[in-house]
Amino acid sequence: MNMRIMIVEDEPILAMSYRMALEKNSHQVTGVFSRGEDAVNGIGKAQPDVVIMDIKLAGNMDGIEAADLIVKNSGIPIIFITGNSDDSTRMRAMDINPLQYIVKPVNIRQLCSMLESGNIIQNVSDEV
Amino acid sequence: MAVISSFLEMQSMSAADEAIKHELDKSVNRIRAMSLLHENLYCNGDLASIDLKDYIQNILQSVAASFGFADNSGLIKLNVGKTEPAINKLIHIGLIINEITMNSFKHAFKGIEKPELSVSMTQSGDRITLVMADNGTGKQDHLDGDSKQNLGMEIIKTLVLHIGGVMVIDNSKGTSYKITFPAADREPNGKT
Repeated sequence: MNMRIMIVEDEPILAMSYRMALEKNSHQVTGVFSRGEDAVNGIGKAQPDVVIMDIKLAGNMDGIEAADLIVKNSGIPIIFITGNSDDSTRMRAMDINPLQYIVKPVNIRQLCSMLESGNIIQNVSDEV
Repeated sequence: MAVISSFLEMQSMSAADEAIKHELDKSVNRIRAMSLLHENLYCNGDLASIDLKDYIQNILQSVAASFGFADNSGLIKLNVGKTEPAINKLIHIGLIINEITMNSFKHAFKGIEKPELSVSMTQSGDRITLVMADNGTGKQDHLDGDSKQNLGMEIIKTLVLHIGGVMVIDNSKGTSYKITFPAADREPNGKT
């Protein structure tokens, strides 16, 4: 299943690598943002099926705050990708019921496989 | 280290030869194994005290050495004025310089008897200008054809955009890159 995907990641090379991998696997990347507030503002134009969201972002809003607003405003599901896997961060992230919570470094082939197989829709509590 | 791992993964995806993919994948795995140690070092290091000229010099020397130019005293001219880029931009500036230098050594200097690369970084007000120019053939892989197919140029464009810069490339006489960007990081309101 090909999907429309928005990437929110403040490290440009990582964002680029996700975009390349997703496009190579026939997904459409409809927006790339490095700041949470830009992602919240850009979601209407990007119209993604799913948002890949880093937690630690540039700017005033972290990825969990941005994801919370996106889910509340549009109901678009979130996949968190983070270098920060401490318990309190994980618990905050779990509050918005993400599709996945993936700890960096990301195996982007595995991420693509998850998207293509539809396996992203599962109980993330099994994963963390 | 996650960035390095991603570079290699992208290169692996671009490789047509399965043996090359395999070798790159092995490197990715090694880097991942190292990443825990290095991430810790990076997070606790003091980037604020970095000497920008030394930083750029080390990148240039490292690339030159990787192409067999261990003694590059007459080859590279470096001029770094008083510049104060945001700490967050240092790694991206370094990666841009690395990419452009690699392209000069890999493509532009073929058949050039006395290759030269000049690098200057100056600041005027809140704008920093990086100029890199070689005396090569003017032919570089990433300037030919569809730049989307070229990873090096994609990396340069992505990083220039990320630091809020604009880039002008001139390959009429050798190749020169002029990149101008704000010294400061973006303000919380999104402006530079």
